[in-house]
Amino acid sequence: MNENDYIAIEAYLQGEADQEARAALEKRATEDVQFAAALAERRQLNDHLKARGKEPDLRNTLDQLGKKYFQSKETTVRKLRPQKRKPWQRLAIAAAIALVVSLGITFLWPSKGTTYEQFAQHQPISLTERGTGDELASQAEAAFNQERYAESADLLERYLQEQAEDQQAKLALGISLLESNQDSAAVNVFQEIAESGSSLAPYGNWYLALAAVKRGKNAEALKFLDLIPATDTYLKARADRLRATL
Amino acid sequence: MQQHPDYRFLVALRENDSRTLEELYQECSPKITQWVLKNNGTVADANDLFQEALISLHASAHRQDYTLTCPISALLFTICRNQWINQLRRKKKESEVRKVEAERYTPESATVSAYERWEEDQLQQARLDEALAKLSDTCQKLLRLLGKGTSPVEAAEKLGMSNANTVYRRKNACLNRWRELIVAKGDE
Repeated sequence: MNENDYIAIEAYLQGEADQEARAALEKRATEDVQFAAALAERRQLNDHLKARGKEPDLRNTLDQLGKKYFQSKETTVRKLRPQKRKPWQRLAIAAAIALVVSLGITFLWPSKGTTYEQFAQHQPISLTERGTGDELASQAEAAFNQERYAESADLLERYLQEQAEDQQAKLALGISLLESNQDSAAVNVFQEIAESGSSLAPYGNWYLALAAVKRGKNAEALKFLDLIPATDTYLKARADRLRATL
Repeated sequence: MQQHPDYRFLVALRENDSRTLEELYQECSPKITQWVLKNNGTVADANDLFQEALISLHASAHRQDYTLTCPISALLFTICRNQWINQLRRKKKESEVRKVEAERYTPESATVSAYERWEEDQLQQARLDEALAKLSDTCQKLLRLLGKGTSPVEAAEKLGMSNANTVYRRKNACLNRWRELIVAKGDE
Protein backbone atom coordinates (compact mmCIF):
# COMPACT_ATOMS: atom_id res chain seq x y z
CA MET A 1 0.00 0.00 0.00
CA ASN A 2 1.47 3.34 -1.01
CA GLU A 3 0.18 6.91 -0.84
CA ASN A 4 -1.42 6.66 -4.27
CA ASP A 5 -3.44 3.63 -3.16
CA TYR A 6 -4.81 5.60 -0.23
CA ILE A 7 -5.51 8.61 -2.42
CA ALA A 8 -7.44 6.36 -4.82
CA ILE A 9 -9.44 5.06 -1.84
CA GLU A 10 -10.19 8.60 -0.67
CA ALA A 11 -11.37 9.68 -4.12
CA TYR A 12 -13.56 6.56 -4.23
CA LEU A 13 -15.09 7.16 -0.80
CA GLN A 14 -15.55 10.84 -1.54
CA GLY A 15 -17.58 9.84 -4.61
CA GLU A 16 -15.12 11.58 -6.92
CA ALA A 17 -13.66 8.54 -8.71
CA ASP A 18 -14.82 7.90 -12.29
CA GLN A 19 -16.58 4.71 -13.28
CA GLU A 20 -13.44 2.99 -14.50
CA ALA A 21 -11.47 3.81 -11.36
CA ARG A 22 -14.39 2.67 -9.21
CA ALA A 23 -14.62 -0.68 -10.97
CA ALA A 24 -10.85 -1.22 -10.71
CA LEU A 25 -10.83 -0.39 -7.04
CA GLU A 26 -13.78 -2.66 -6.24
CA LYS A 27 -12.13 -5.49 -8.15
CA ARG A 28 -8.86 -5.03 -6.28
CA ALA A 29 -10.69 -5.07 -2.95
CA THR A 30 -11.97 -8.56 -3.73
CA GLU A 31 -8.50 -9.82 -4.61
CA ASP A 32 -6.11 -8.04 -2.28
CA VAL A 33 -6.76 -8.61 1.45
CA GLN A 34 -4.50 -5.80 2.59
CA PHE A 35 -6.18 -3.36 0.22
CA ALA A 36 -9.62 -4.53 1.35
CA ALA A 37 -8.65 -3.96 5.00
CA ALA A 38 -7.34 -0.47 4.21
CA LEU A 39 -10.55 0.34 2.34
CA ALA A 40 -12.68 -0.87 5.28
CA GLU A 41 -10.66 1.16 7.74
CA ARG A 42 -10.80 4.33 5.66
CA ARG A 43 -14.50 3.79 5.12
CA GLN A 44 -15.03 3.70 8.88
CA LEU A 45 -13.17 6.99 9.37
CA ASN A 46 -15.01 8.63 6.48
CA ASP A 47 -18.40 7.39 7.72
CA HIS A 48 -17.66 8.84 11.13
CA LEU A 49 -16.71 12.20 9.62
CA LYS A 50 -19.86 12.21 7.50
CA ALA A 51 -22.03 11.46 10.54
CA ARG A 52 -20.43 14.24 12.57
CA GLY A 53 -20.72 16.63 9.62
CA LYS A 54 -24.42 16.02 9.22
CA GLU A 55 -25.22 16.06 12.93
CA PRO A 56 -25.99 19.81 13.29
CA ASP A 57 -28.71 19.67 10.59
CA LEU A 58 -30.22 16.57 12.16
CA ARG A 59 -30.23 18.29 15.56
CA ASN A 60 -32.23 21.15 14.07
CA THR A 61 -34.82 18.71 12.73
CA LEU A 62 -35.00 16.84 16.04
CA ASP A 63 -35.30 20.10 17.99
CA GLN A 64 -38.41 20.96 15.99
CA LEU A 65 -39.93 17.50 16.41
CA GLY A 66 -39.08 17.51 20.11
CA LYS A 67 -40.94 20.78 20.59
CA LYS A 68 -43.98 19.26 18.92
CA TYR A 69 -44.02 15.85 20.61
CA PHE A 70 -42.53 16.50 24.04
CA GLN A 71 -44.76 19.22 25.39
CA SER A 72 -45.35 19.67 29.06
CA LYS A 73 -49.12 19.62 29.67
CA GLU A 74 -48.76 22.11 32.53
CA THR A 75 -47.13 24.69 30.33
CA THR A 76 -49.00 24.10 27.10
CA VAL A 77 -52.46 24.61 28.59
CA ARG A 78 -51.35 27.78 30.30
CA LYS A 79 -49.25 29.45 27.63
CA LEU A 80 -48.90 33.19 27.73
CA ARG A 81 -50.44 33.58 24.34
CA PRO A 82 -53.93 32.18 23.81
CA GLN A 83 -53.95 29.39 21.29
CA LYS A 84 -55.66 29.91 17.96
CA ARG A 85 -59.24 28.80 18.28
CA LYS A 86 -61.72 27.53 15.77
CA PRO A 87 -64.69 29.81 14.92
CA TRP A 88 -67.17 27.78 16.99
CA GLN A 89 -64.81 27.98 19.96
CA ARG A 90 -64.55 31.74 19.57
CA LEU A 91 -68.35 32.00 19.50
CA ALA A 92 -68.60 29.83 22.60
CA ILE A 93 -66.02 31.98 24.39
CA ALA A 94 -67.78 35.19 23.34
CA ALA A 95 -71.08 33.77 24.58
CA ALA A 96 -69.48 32.74 27.86
CA ILE A 97 -67.98 36.21 28.33
CA ALA A 98 -71.34 37.82 27.56
CA LEU A 99 -72.98 35.55 30.11
CA VAL A 100 -70.38 36.39 32.75
CA VAL A 101 -70.84 40.10 32.10
CA SER A 102 -74.62 39.83 32.27
CA LEU A 103 -74.46 37.91 35.56
CA GLY A 104 -72.16 40.51 37.02
CA ILE A 105 -68.40 40.56 37.13
CA THR A 106 -68.18 40.53 40.89
CA PHE A 107 -69.59 37.03 41.04
CA LEU A 108 -66.40 35.60 39.56
CA TRP A 109 -63.93 38.17 40.64
CA PRO A 110 -62.26 38.26 44.05
CA SER A 111 -63.16 41.42 45.89
CA LYS A 112 -60.23 41.67 48.27
CA GLY A 113 -56.83 43.20 47.53
CA THR A 114 -55.95 46.24 45.42
CA THR A 115 -57.04 46.45 41.80
CA TYR A 116 -53.46 45.74 40.80
CA GLU A 117 -53.31 42.59 42.94
CA GLN A 118 -56.62 41.39 41.55
CA PHE A 119 -55.40 41.64 37.98
CA ALA A 120 -51.68 40.87 38.33
CA GLN A 121 -52.07 37.16 37.87
CA HIS A 122 -49.15 36.05 35.79
CA GLN A 123 -49.10 33.03 33.55
CA PRO A 124 -46.28 30.54 34.10
CA ILE A 125 -43.51 30.56 31.53
CA SER A 126 -41.78 27.75 29.69
CA LEU A 127 -38.27 28.62 28.49
CA THR A 128 -36.71 25.19 28.63
CA GLU A 129 -36.44 24.56 24.95
CA ARG A 130 -33.37 22.67 23.83
CA GLY A 131 -30.34 24.72 22.97
CA THR A 132 -27.86 27.03 24.56
CA GLY A 133 -28.29 28.38 28.04
CA ASP A 134 -30.56 25.54 29.05
CA GLU A 135 -29.51 25.38 32.69
CA LEU A 136 -30.04 29.11 33.08
CA ALA A 137 -33.39 28.85 31.30
CA SER A 138 -34.68 26.21 33.67
CA GLN A 139 -33.48 28.13 36.74
CA ALA A 140 -35.12 31.33 35.50
CA GLU A 141 -38.31 29.46 34.66
CA ALA A 142 -38.47 27.82 38.09
CA ALA A 143 -37.81 31.08 39.96
CA PHE A 144 -40.46 32.93 37.95
CA ASN A 145 -43.11 30.22 38.19
CA GLN A 146 -42.52 29.94 41.93
CA GLU A 147 -42.92 33.75 42.26
CA ARG A 148 -39.35 34.36 43.46
CA TYR A 149 -39.32 37.52 41.40
CA ALA A 150 -36.12 39.22 42.61
CA GLU A 151 -34.23 36.05 41.72
CA SER A 152 -36.05 35.52 38.41
CA ALA A 153 -35.32 39.16 37.38
CA ASP A 154 -31.60 38.52 37.80
CA LEU A 155 -31.68 35.12 36.05
CA LEU A 156 -33.81 36.38 33.17
CA GLU A 157 -31.50 39.32 32.59
CA ARG A 158 -28.62 36.86 32.23
CA TYR A 159 -30.67 34.54 30.05
CA LEU A 160 -31.61 37.44 27.76
CA GLN A 161 -27.97 38.29 27.24
CA GLU A 162 -27.76 35.00 25.33
CA GLN A 163 -31.30 34.86 23.96
CA ALA A 164 -32.04 38.51 23.28
CA GLU A 165 -34.91 37.72 20.92
CA ASP A 166 -36.92 35.66 23.41
CA GLN A 167 -39.97 37.89 23.89
CA GLN A 168 -41.54 35.56 26.44
CA ALA A 169 -38.45 35.81 28.64
CA LYS A 170 -38.44 39.58 28.17
CA LEU A 171 -42.05 39.81 29.29
CA ALA A 172 -41.27 37.63 32.31
CA LEU A 173 -38.36 39.95 33.12
CA GLY A 174 -40.71 42.96 33.02
CA ILE A 175 -43.14 41.18 35.34
CA SER A 176 -40.32 40.17 37.71
CA LEU A 177 -39.11 43.77 37.88
CA LEU A 178 -42.65 45.05 38.44
CA GLU A 179 -43.22 42.54 41.24
CA SER A 180 -39.87 43.47 42.81
CA ASN A 181 -40.96 47.12 42.85
CA GLN A 182 -38.51 48.23 40.18
CA ASP A 183 -41.39 49.87 38.36
CA SER A 184 -39.56 52.20 36.02
CA ALA A 185 -37.21 49.44 34.81
CA ALA A 186 -40.26 47.24 34.29
CA VAL A 187 -42.04 49.97 32.31
CA ASN A 188 -39.03 50.26 29.98
CA VAL A 189 -39.15 46.53 29.28
CA PHE A 190 -42.93 46.53 28.67
CA GLN A 191 -42.53 49.56 26.40
CA GLU A 192 -40.01 47.64 24.27
CA ILE A 193 -42.38 44.66 24.02
CA ALA A 194 -45.36 46.88 23.16
CA GLU A 195 -43.35 48.51 20.37
CA SER A 196 -41.77 45.29 19.14
CA GLY A 197 -44.57 44.31 16.78
CA SER A 198 -44.22 40.74 18.06
CA SER A 199 -47.15 38.54 18.95
CA LEU A 200 -46.65 39.51 22.60
CA ALA A 201 -46.97 43.25 21.86
CA PRO A 202 -50.56 43.36 23.29
CA TYR A 203 -49.12 41.96 26.54
CA GLY A 204 -46.68 44.85 26.57
CA ASN A 205 -49.62 47.25 26.62
CA TRP A 206 -51.53 45.13 29.13
CA TYR A 207 -48.63 45.23 31.57
CA LEU A 208 -48.02 48.94 30.91
CA ALA A 209 -51.64 49.40 31.98
CA LEU A 210 -51.13 47.26 35.08
CA ALA A 211 -47.92 49.12 35.96
CA ALA A 212 -49.88 52.39 35.71
CA VAL A 213 -52.66 50.97 37.91
CA LYS A 214 -50.06 49.91 40.45
CA ARG A 215 -48.79 53.49 40.60
CA GLY A 216 -52.35 54.85 40.87
CA LYS A 217 -52.31 56.39 37.37
CA ASN A 218 -55.65 55.11 36.17
CA ALA A 219 -56.04 57.59 33.29
CA GLU A 220 -52.70 56.43 31.87
CA ALA A 221 -53.77 52.81 32.30
CA LEU A 222 -56.91 53.41 30.23
CA LYS A 223 -54.80 54.68 27.33
CA PHE A 224 -52.78 51.46 27.27
CA LEU A 225 -55.91 49.34 27.56
CA ASP A 226 -57.29 51.06 24.45
CA LEU A 227 -54.25 49.80 22.51
CA ILE A 228 -55.12 46.14 23.08
CA PRO A 229 -56.59 44.83 19.82
CA ALA A 230 -60.07 43.30 19.81
CA THR A 231 -58.67 40.39 17.83
CA ASP A 232 -56.90 39.21 20.97
CA THR A 233 -60.15 38.09 22.57
CA TYR A 234 -58.55 36.61 25.67
CA LEU A 235 -56.61 39.72 26.60
CA LYS A 236 -59.38 42.06 25.45
CA ALA A 237 -61.79 40.41 27.91
CA ARG A 238 -59.31 40.95 30.75
CA ALA A 239 -58.73 44.54 29.62
CA ASP A 240 -62.50 45.19 29.61
CA ARG A 241 -62.81 43.84 33.12
CA LEU A 242 -59.95 46.01 34.33
CA ARG A 243 -61.43 49.06 32.59
CA ALA A 244 -64.74 48.46 34.38
CA THR A 245 -63.04 48.69 37.77
CA LEU A 246 -61.10 51.91 37.08
CA MET B 1 -28.22 -10.91 9.37
CA GLN B 2 -31.32 -9.42 7.88
CA GLN B 3 -32.24 -5.78 8.41
CA HIS B 4 -35.35 -5.20 10.52
CA PRO B 5 -38.05 -3.25 8.58
CA ASP B 6 -37.45 -0.38 11.03
CA TYR B 7 -34.08 0.14 9.36
CA ARG B 8 -35.94 2.76 7.30
CA PHE B 9 -35.78 4.99 10.39
CA LEU B 10 -32.01 4.72 10.38
CA VAL B 11 -32.02 5.74 6.73
CA ALA B 12 -34.25 8.67 7.73
CA LEU B 13 -31.71 9.67 10.39
CA ARG B 14 -28.90 9.46 7.86
CA GLU B 15 -30.84 11.51 5.32
CA ASN B 16 -32.42 13.91 7.82
CA ASP B 17 -35.91 12.94 6.59
CA SER B 18 -38.16 14.79 9.01
CA ARG B 19 -41.40 13.24 7.76
CA THR B 20 -40.30 9.69 8.54
CA LEU B 21 -38.67 10.78 11.79
CA GLU B 22 -41.95 12.35 12.82
CA GLU B 23 -43.55 8.88 12.69
CA LEU B 24 -40.92 7.75 15.15
CA TYR B 25 -41.65 10.64 17.50
CA GLN B 26 -45.36 9.90 17.26
CA GLU B 27 -44.77 6.28 18.15
CA CYS B 28 -42.15 6.62 20.87
CA SER B 29 -42.65 9.96 22.65
CA PRO B 30 -45.72 8.98 24.78
CA LYS B 31 -44.10 5.88 26.28
CA ILE B 32 -40.76 7.54 26.94
CA THR B 33 -42.39 10.64 28.44
CA GLN B 34 -44.59 8.53 30.69
CA TRP B 35 -41.66 6.45 31.89
CA VAL B 36 -39.36 9.43 32.58
CA LEU B 37 -42.11 11.31 34.42
CA LYS B 38 -42.74 8.23 36.55
CA ASN B 39 -39.06 8.11 37.39
CA ASN B 40 -38.43 11.55 38.76
CA GLY B 41 -37.76 13.30 35.43
CA THR B 42 -39.48 15.97 33.39
CA VAL B 43 -40.84 16.15 29.86
CA ALA B 44 -37.72 18.13 28.93
CA ASP B 45 -35.57 15.28 30.28
CA ALA B 46 -37.54 12.81 28.15
CA ASN B 47 -37.01 15.00 25.08
CA ASP B 48 -33.27 15.25 25.75
CA LEU B 49 -32.89 11.52 26.28
CA PHE B 50 -34.80 10.67 23.12
CA GLN B 51 -32.93 13.20 21.00
CA GLU B 52 -29.52 12.03 22.21
CA ALA B 53 -30.51 8.40 21.63
CA LEU B 54 -31.39 9.27 18.04
CA ILE B 55 -28.16 11.22 17.55
CA SER B 56 -26.17 8.25 18.82
CA LEU B 57 -27.96 5.96 16.37
CA HIS B 58 -27.37 8.50 13.61
CA ALA B 59 -23.64 7.77 13.78
CA SER B 60 -24.34 4.01 13.58
CA ALA B 61 -26.68 4.64 10.66
CA HIS B 62 -23.72 5.92 8.66
CA ARG B 63 -21.90 2.64 9.01
CA GLN B 64 -22.39 0.37 6.05
CA ASP B 65 -22.08 -2.77 8.17
CA TYR B 66 -24.67 -1.75 10.77
CA THR B 67 -27.61 -4.13 11.03
CA LEU B 68 -30.75 -3.35 13.00
CA THR B 69 -32.06 -6.61 14.39
CA CYS B 70 -34.95 -5.47 16.63
CA PRO B 71 -37.77 -2.89 16.54
CA ILE B 72 -36.18 0.54 16.79
CA SER B 73 -38.71 1.67 19.44
CA ALA B 74 -37.54 -1.13 21.76
CA LEU B 75 -33.89 -0.20 21.25
CA LEU B 76 -34.58 3.50 21.77
CA PHE B 77 -36.55 2.82 24.93
CA THR B 78 -33.74 0.68 26.34
CA ILE B 79 -31.14 3.34 25.50
CA CYS B 80 -33.24 6.11 27.11
CA ARG B 81 -33.98 4.01 30.18
CA ASN B 82 -30.35 3.09 30.81
CA GLN B 83 -29.11 6.61 30.11
CA TRP B 84 -31.61 7.98 32.61
CA ILE B 85 -30.47 5.50 35.25
CA ASN B 86 -26.89 6.64 34.61
CA GLN B 87 -27.91 10.27 35.00
CA LEU B 88 -29.68 9.56 38.28
CA ARG B 89 -26.58 7.73 39.44
CA ARG B 90 -24.37 10.68 38.50
CA LYS B 91 -26.69 12.93 40.48
CA LYS B 92 -26.28 10.47 43.35
CA LYS B 93 -29.98 9.73 43.51
CA GLU B 94 -29.35 6.15 44.59
CA SER B 95 -32.77 5.61 46.10
CA GLU B 96 -34.41 6.50 42.78
CA VAL B 97 -31.98 4.25 40.91
CA ARG B 98 -32.95 1.37 43.16
CA LYS B 99 -36.63 2.13 42.57
CA VAL B 100 -36.16 2.14 38.78
CA GLU B 101 -34.09 -1.00 38.82
CA ALA B 102 -36.52 -2.81 41.08
CA GLU B 103 -39.22 -2.48 38.46
CA ARG B 104 -39.46 -5.54 36.26
CA TYR B 105 -38.08 -4.87 32.82
CA THR B 106 -36.87 -7.67 30.62
CA PRO B 107 -36.39 -6.65 27.02
CA GLU B 108 -36.47 -9.24 24.24
CA SER B 109 -33.13 -10.95 23.65
CA ALA B 110 -32.85 -9.28 20.21
CA THR B 111 -33.15 -5.89 21.94
CA VAL B 112 -30.54 -6.85 24.53
CA SER B 113 -28.01 -7.79 21.87
CA ALA B 114 -28.85 -4.68 19.82
CA TYR B 115 -28.27 -2.60 22.94
CA GLU B 116 -24.95 -4.29 23.62
CA ARG B 117 -23.82 -3.53 20.08
CA TRP B 118 -24.98 0.04 20.56
CA GLU B 119 -22.81 0.30 23.68
CA GLU B 120 -19.79 -0.99 21.76
CA ASP B 121 -20.50 1.51 19.00
CA GLN B 122 -20.62 4.34 21.51
CA LEU B 123 -17.22 3.39 22.88
CA GLN B 124 -15.78 3.19 19.40
CA GLN B 125 -17.25 6.56 18.42
CA ALA B 126 -15.89 8.12 21.60
CA ARG B 127 -12.44 6.74 20.75
CA LEU B 128 -12.66 8.21 17.23
CA ASP B 129 -13.80 11.60 18.54
CA GLU B 130 -11.13 11.72 21.19
CA ALA B 131 -8.36 11.02 18.67
CA LEU B 132 -9.90 13.42 16.15
CA ALA B 133 -9.77 16.21 18.71
CA LYS B 134 -6.01 15.66 19.10
CA LEU B 135 -5.26 16.34 15.41
CA SER B 136 -3.85 19.68 14.30
CA ASP B 137 -6.33 22.49 13.67
CA THR B 138 -5.71 22.33 9.92
CA CYS B 139 -6.37 18.59 9.85
CA GLN B 140 -9.54 18.97 11.90
CA LYS B 141 -10.76 21.79 9.69
CA LEU B 142 -10.04 19.85 6.51
CA LEU B 143 -11.64 16.62 7.72
CA ARG B 144 -14.73 18.38 9.05
CA LEU B 145 -15.16 20.28 5.80
CA LEU B 146 -14.95 17.09 3.75
CA GLY B 147 -17.23 15.33 6.25
CA LYS B 148 -19.88 17.96 5.64
CA GLY B 149 -19.83 17.06 1.97
CA THR B 150 -17.69 19.94 0.73
CA SER B 151 -16.01 18.89 -2.52
CA PRO B 152 -12.20 18.62 -2.56
CA VAL B 153 -12.04 21.48 -5.11
CA GLU B 154 -14.08 23.73 -2.84
CA ALA B 155 -12.10 22.62 0.22
CA ALA B 156 -8.87 23.50 -1.64
CA GLU B 157 -10.20 27.02 -2.23
CA LYS B 158 -11.39 27.47 1.34
CA LEU B 159 -8.14 26.26 2.88
CA GLY B 160 -5.79 27.95 0.43
CA MET B 161 -4.50 24.68 -1.06
CA SER B 162 -3.47 24.51 -4.69
CA ASN B 163 -5.86 21.82 -5.98
CA ALA B 164 -7.99 18.77 -5.19
CA ASN B 165 -4.96 16.50 -5.38
CA THR B 166 -3.27 18.45 -2.58
CA VAL B 167 -6.47 18.09 -0.57
CA TYR B 168 -6.39 14.31 -1.03
CA ARG B 169 -2.73 14.11 -0.05
CA ARG B 170 -3.30 16.28 2.99
CA LYS B 171 -6.39 14.33 3.90
CA ASN B 172 -4.45 11.09 3.61
CA ALA B 173 -1.75 12.41 5.95
CA CYS B 174 -4.41 13.56 8.44
CA LEU B 175 -6.20 10.21 8.33
CA ASN B 176 -2.90 8.38 8.88
CA ARG B 177 -2.23 10.52 11.92
CA TRP B 178 -5.80 9.99 13.15
CA ARG B 179 -5.37 6.25 12.80
CA GLU B 180 -2.06 6.33 14.71
CA LEU B 181 -3.74 8.17 17.57
CA ILE B 182 -6.60 5.65 17.68
CA VAL B 183 -4.16 2.73 17.74
CA ALA B 184 -2.00 4.41 20.41
CA LYS B 185 -5.09 4.92 22.57
CA GLY B 186 -6.05 1.27 22.11
CA ASP B 187 -2.59 0.17 23.26
CA GLU B 188 -2.68 2.23 26.46
